Amino acid sequence: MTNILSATPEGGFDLGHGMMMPDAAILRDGRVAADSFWSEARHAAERDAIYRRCWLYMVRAEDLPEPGDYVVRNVEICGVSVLIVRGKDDVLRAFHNVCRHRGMPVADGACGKAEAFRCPYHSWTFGLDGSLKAIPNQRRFPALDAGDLGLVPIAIDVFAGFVFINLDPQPGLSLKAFLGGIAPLLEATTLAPFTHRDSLSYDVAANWKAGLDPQYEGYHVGTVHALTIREISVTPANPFSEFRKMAFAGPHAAGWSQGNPSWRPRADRIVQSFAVQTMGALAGRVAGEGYPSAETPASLAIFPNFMIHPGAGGWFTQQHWPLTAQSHRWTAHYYYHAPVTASERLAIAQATAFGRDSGMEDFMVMARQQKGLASGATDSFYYGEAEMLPRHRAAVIRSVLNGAQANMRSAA
Amino acid sequence: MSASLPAAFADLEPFAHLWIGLETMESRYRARQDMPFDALKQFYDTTAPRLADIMAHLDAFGSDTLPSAEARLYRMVLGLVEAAQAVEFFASARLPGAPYPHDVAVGGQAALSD
Ligand code: FES
Ligand SMILES: [Fe+2]
Repeated sequence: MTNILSATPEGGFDLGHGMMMPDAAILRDGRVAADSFWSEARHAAERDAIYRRCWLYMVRAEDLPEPGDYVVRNVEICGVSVLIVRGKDDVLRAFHNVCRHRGMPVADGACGKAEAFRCPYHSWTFGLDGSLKAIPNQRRFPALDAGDLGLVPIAIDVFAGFVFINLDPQPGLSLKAFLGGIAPLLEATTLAPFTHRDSLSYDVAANWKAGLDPQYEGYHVGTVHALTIREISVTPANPFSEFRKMAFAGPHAAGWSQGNPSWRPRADRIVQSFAVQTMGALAGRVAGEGYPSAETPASLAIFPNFMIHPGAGGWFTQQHWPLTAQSHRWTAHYYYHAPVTASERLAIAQATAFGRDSGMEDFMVMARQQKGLASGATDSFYYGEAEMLPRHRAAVIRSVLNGAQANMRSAA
Repeated sequence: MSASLPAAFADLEPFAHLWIGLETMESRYRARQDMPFDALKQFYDTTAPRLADIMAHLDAFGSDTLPSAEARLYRMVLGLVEAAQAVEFFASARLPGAPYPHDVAVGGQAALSD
């Protein structure tokens, strides 16, 4: 059994490199090397040891309901374009979106429905199962065996409707083992009933880990979100918006908030008040179907870059995809029950706009933090005990990179 | 100015042109960044107190497509959502310190991959 759920962060973890322990010094002191957020060498090491090895969340299974439905997802740090398609046999498959003739992406756009994938360069055509179906003027390729020239497969697996891929040609462990003890919390994330979704994306001038950090600590909320969400989570009893409980499962983690059950929108905030009230009525209409509960973590962190939270009208998921050593792409989905009335649509628009703006408050801080760290002024920074989720992540990554280096040394 | 909103909301006509041509959240967010705060505040102060009436009017049309005057009114209250972000939280059209202008891509699957 790997990646066991624990109330403390010291437990071992397995990303497919074998069992490791989170770095003890980082767990103890919270002190992290500043260049982990800006160095090119560190970026390359994370690419090889994490993004080319871990299971990565891509898409919801219900986004590909029918045979021929496909999505394309780019894992930019690896330079990989992933094509995920539902076959005629209803099976989800993933492939490198690369033609076997001369390397052109075969699927255009981010999503669609296809009978087959015809390469836009010379029209080699691939079936939904990846097999090469047609080579125009095939007699000019007398030595090629079309049976060997299907799209290159990528490992794919689905858990509770969450579709993951793994860029390792031979993943070191199954998705189920990778998720380990965090799986029940992922399973309790019932997105399927929430059929209305607003999806946002923004490129942030900060390392991907800087992007993750404020998604699982409340310490910044009172300062960064003084104008927006501070009043929702900061209370006299919890002035620093600390979690009431944290849990760790291998590389993954979760934090439960104390919340502020007495929060109501200020009466002079007419639009927010209307939206919150309407969202409450929508919840009553659908009788709580699929909603987060008191046992839902405020932040569920699936390593390396997938975050799930309760949302204003249901759920909120986000990912922070590394682009360069000093930039990342934020992709977010706000899930809501399908609105029926204009009022419900308006309430959703308000909730998404509020989420977008409070997200922007974080992004502005990250971009400035990035410059501060990359200036080289300091060689380290600190995560306090209330920032244990990011601290744990830093300790996990430190050990993975040490281990990967040790493996390379022993192989050399 | 020709009447574009339902008769019951004719008094809001002076603000209609600001929003009724903006079909996406992205374009409304950009318009908010481009507008002086005073203009957003004036729009908010006039329109927000009518919000409950406006939405009661629109809700009476059910979930199918709205008649064109109502569709324009609805788009205007979507503009009110952006104005309200500025007025209710930031006392500023733009988020203090945010790059100007900036866009946050909005969409389904398509927005998230390229
Ligand atoms: S590169 Fe695809 S057909 Fe030539
Ligand atoms: Fe934040």
